[in-house]
Amino acid sequence: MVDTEPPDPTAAEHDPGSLKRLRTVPRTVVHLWRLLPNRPLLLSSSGLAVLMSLSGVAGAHFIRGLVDAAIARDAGAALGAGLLLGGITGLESLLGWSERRLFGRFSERAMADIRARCGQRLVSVSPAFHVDKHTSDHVSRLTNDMAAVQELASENLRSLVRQPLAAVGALAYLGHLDWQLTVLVFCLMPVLLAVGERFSRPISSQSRAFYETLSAAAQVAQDSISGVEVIRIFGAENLMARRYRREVDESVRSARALARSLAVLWATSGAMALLPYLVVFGIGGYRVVQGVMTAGSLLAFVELLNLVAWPTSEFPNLIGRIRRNLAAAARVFEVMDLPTERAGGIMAGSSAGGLSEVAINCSGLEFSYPGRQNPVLSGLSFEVRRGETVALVGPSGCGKSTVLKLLLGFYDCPAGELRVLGTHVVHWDLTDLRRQIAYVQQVPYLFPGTIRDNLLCGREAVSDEHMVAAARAVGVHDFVLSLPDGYETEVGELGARLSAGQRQRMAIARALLKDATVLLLDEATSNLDAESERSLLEGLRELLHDRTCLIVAHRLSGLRTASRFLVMDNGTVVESGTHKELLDRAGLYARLYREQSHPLPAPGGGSS
Amino acid sequence: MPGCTGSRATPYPPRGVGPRERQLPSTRIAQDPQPSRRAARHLREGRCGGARPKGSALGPGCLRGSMGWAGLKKLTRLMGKLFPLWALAVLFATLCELVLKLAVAHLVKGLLDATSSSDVPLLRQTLWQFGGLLAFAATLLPLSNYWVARIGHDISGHIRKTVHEHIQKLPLRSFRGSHGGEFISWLTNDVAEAEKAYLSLMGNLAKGAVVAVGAIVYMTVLEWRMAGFVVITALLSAWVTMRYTSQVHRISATVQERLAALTTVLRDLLTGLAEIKAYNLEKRVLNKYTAAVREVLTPALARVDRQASFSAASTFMSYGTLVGTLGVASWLAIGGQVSIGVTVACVELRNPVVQLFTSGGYTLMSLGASLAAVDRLASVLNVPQEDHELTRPLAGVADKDQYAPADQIIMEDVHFQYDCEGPAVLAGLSLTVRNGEVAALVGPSGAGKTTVFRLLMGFYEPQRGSIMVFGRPLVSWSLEELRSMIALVPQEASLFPGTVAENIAFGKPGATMPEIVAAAKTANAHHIIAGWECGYETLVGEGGSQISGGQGQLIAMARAVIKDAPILLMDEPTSALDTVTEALVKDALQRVTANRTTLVIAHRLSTIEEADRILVVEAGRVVEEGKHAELLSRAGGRYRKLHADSFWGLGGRSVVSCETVLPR
Repeated sequence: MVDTEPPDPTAAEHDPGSLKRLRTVPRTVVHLWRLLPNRPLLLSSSGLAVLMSLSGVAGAHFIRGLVDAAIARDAGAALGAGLLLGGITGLESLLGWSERRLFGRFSERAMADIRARCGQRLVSVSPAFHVDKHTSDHVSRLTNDMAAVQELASENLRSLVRQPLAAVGALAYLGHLDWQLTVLVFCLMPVLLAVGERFSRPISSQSRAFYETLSAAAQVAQDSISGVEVIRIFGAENLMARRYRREVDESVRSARALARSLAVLWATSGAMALLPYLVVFGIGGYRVVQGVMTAGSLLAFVELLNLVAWPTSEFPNLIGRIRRNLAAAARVFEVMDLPTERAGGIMAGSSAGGLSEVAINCSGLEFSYPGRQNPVLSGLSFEVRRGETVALVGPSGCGKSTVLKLLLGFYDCPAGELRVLGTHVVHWDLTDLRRQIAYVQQVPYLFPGTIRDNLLCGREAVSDEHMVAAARAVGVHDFVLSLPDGYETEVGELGARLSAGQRQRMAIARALLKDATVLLLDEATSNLDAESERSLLEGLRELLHDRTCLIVAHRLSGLRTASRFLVMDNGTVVESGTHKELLDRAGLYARLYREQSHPLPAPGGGSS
Repeated sequence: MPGCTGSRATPYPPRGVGPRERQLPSTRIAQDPQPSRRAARHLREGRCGGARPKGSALGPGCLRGSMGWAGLKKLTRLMGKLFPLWALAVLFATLCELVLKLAVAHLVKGLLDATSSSDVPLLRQTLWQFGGLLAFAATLLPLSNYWVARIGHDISGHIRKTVHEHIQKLPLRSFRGSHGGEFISWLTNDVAEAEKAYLSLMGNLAKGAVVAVGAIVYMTVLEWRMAGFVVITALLSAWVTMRYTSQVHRISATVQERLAALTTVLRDLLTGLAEIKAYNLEKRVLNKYTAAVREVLTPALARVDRQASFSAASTFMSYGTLVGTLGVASWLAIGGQVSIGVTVACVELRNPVVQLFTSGGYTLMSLGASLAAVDRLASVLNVPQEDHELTRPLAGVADKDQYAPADQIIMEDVHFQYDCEGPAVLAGLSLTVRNGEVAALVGPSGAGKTTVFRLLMGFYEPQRGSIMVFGRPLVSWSLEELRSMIALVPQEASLFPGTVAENIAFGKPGATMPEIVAAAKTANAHHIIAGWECGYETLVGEGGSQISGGQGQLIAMARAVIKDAPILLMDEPTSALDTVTEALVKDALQRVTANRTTLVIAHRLSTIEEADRILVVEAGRVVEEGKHAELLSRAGGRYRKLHADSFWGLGGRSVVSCETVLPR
């Protein structure tokens, strides 16, 4: 299982041994290439880029002709060159138009494809991954990192193809115009690049420092806002203002440092950008005076220099951007590489266990969460027969909910045996296993959609009477009817009007409507008050008929309907029996019961 | 871009802000300037019966409204004393830019004229001038830019401090709902947005306009027909650009909307995965997701088409202008009316003119968004502060001796609601607390217990009824005096980043170490703190994870103790505690409450059995009052019912199971 932290791209920069990252770059590229559909689009747009490079050269050639004709006062030649230039202008626009369209189509389709693949992968991953942190991490990968991939697939990749092509074409013509001047100018290039690189080096670390100081200031502001009552009552407004001022001053200081470096960079890059022109005009001017070169050639030279010099000087930046894009792409591709749940296995019909009288059978079960040392379950054994309602109780952290998650096949291959309806969980076909089980979590998730959608969960065959009966049983029917749209009310629109308790009730109704053999309730009534919990669970018993029910609950008062209690501690069952038996034994159960009951004896006995 | 590092810029993202915005605080364009403006308005006029806004002038026109002189005036006011310096810097930068652009054209003209007429001395002279220009570009130009940036950052710091200081003095009402998140957004996103105006946009606009005018003037001097041609073509390309950019913007908005919808579907998919699996709904959900992906693709492809046409049109325009300029110039040159140098100079000068017209519109648009942020910041500063809006006497009237003679808190028939439309929180609540007494408020959540505290602390004013503190109406105390008489242990410890000692000293600025230790001892926190490796220098907050909720509560108690105020308010001091810490807190309570008037809100009734008096609050009023034993023996009483309920544990409040924490 991939349960390691996603590599932090910023951390990797500090890491001297970032070799590992470097090695992932080619792998990402391969991944990218294999993923990209519509490669013909990419290839044909690259072909157009070659043509555009040629037309750029042709344009410069005709400019030269026009200027030379003008200086020679040759109206005929000037007219010819002018018309050709006009034609090139049209051609260039046309080529640009088709190239953009093709490339744009390619990149948008590729994005849609990557998005779809990520979604596909994410639904087939085990829910064990999706703990809160991972949820926001994945969302961030599919939004922020995806935006970087988009940048790569649209602009940067295009520039990577176009710029060298344009530069090569232009370079060839420059050599043709005046190879000595060309060589001279291009000897300058590496110098310029090196200087630019030297002066831009401190900028990334300085801008990071700037953002960090800003973030520190925002942190103080956040503290002073969320702690406002405490600050006011202790009269600490000035103290907080002082702290904030200190952080802001720090951020201003680092902003100034950054601005200073940027100014130096501008100074050098400004001068550097002018230098080639100075050289070309100076030397070229003398050569024109000497008659080695025509004025038109000089102008064409300058024009083409624009085409070459700018992309060349931009190239390191482009590579830097692409490298960052690839890092983001790698994070997106990690999502696509998440291990999926296993497919296939024994189906309910083919399983001999379908006849088993034992609904759940667990023996010697060992389990610890991936990447964690301490075991959650150590040698857990118990048995639940069909039609039984069994309560799983014990102190927080003893592994109750883990058992339910293992039953659902959310985690892989626990050591020991865990059988559902006679078949080991690891042998079940997961879809079919889950068909046998209805499950309610402590904080249930309601899908966006109507209340009806949520109750039926895709089972269109359920009749309205059935649905209403279930809603009645859990005590939400009246509430639903009080809504203007009744069962057609959108859950999302209810927002805060739907209390946590009502959410839990709905989730239980949903589970009841799922015609499953086994019902698992994981603290499913924790948001109800003691009284409602008790009556809900009691009412449930009638509805369950012959279904098997395993209830995890914290409050013991609601569980009186359970036919048996399994008391867990440190990952094993330490006691089991009925409420009365366990109380008589005076063990852990009795202690828990006493703790929850008050030190004082209950007056009037709300409990019994 | 540095935006990536900005991901850590807002560790507490404002509520409702998606990760995209969170990631790039500086690039968040105020797509919808309305909500915050509305919030600001709400802050101003939120008091019941307050003045209604004069017409809803906050429609789409507000952007335009803030664009005009009013917006600029607000900006200059925000800049404060730094404005003249900034204006000077921008002027200097503009002049430098003008000199550079015109000089380049002039020198290119000289070079070409020299070469075409084989005038070697002129050539040499021009080359020297070119070298001089190089030196200029390398020194003065960056210097001027640096100057603008430096002053700009100073201005941002100034604005941040001003707004923060103002927020610190806003009435507590402003902090309700999502406004807390908006405050952060003002200090981060809005300042980042506003600073674009004075850091770059206004400077760019000034430079663009001045250089373009200079270029046109210079061209007219050189050859007026060329100038005319250039201006006409520049206008034409500006028109094309405007047309297409508005179209692309509209489609981009659709793309963004659908991307947001896609993110919602994704988030639902991820948060509901356990249920999706349990109910075998993978296919349905995936279909919905792929449909959302396709929804994005359609406008995205439309945008590609628009962009392609735009790029074709703009290529045509820019090439066309170049070819046209050369053509016109050649025609004039053949007629002998113009030199080749003038031609090329005009080609060179055409650039700033075209640029002003093509990117000027976009700059103006960004400036609009930026000034909208300025507007929001300015309207925040217009929200009246706490002291100004309440009719309070000045501080310093009373000293501590005056507290003694009158010895109680009296609330009589107090009515209160947070919002005009909201439900009544207190409905005729009356209570009396005697000097030195420990009174407990109990009752179901939402009954109004915490609100009683807030009114006592002067965070809100009741709509009806009277509150007396130490024999004087609460409103006759200045807020400073009132709050100096009260210490608070809030429901959540709300400690601040810093050392434990700093956090305790928070209750008494300038407290000495012995005082801090004594307070910690009284609050039973000393031996816990002393047991830590760094003792009182242990860091709280970031990386201070070793401090549990209960330990934080003890520190919060020490903080209240050190303040040594005659009134102590404790809000659920034991709600989040494990049994060990609860015992410590209960033990400390006895010492802490000695010689003080104490009001305790408690959920765990075991905490307050020894209270002098228990007040049962329900639906905004006190329904029962008496000692623990008394109330328990009252048949059918509310307290007795509450007690029976809580008998069954914690009411589901602090149930934390190990399974909520899964592997990282």
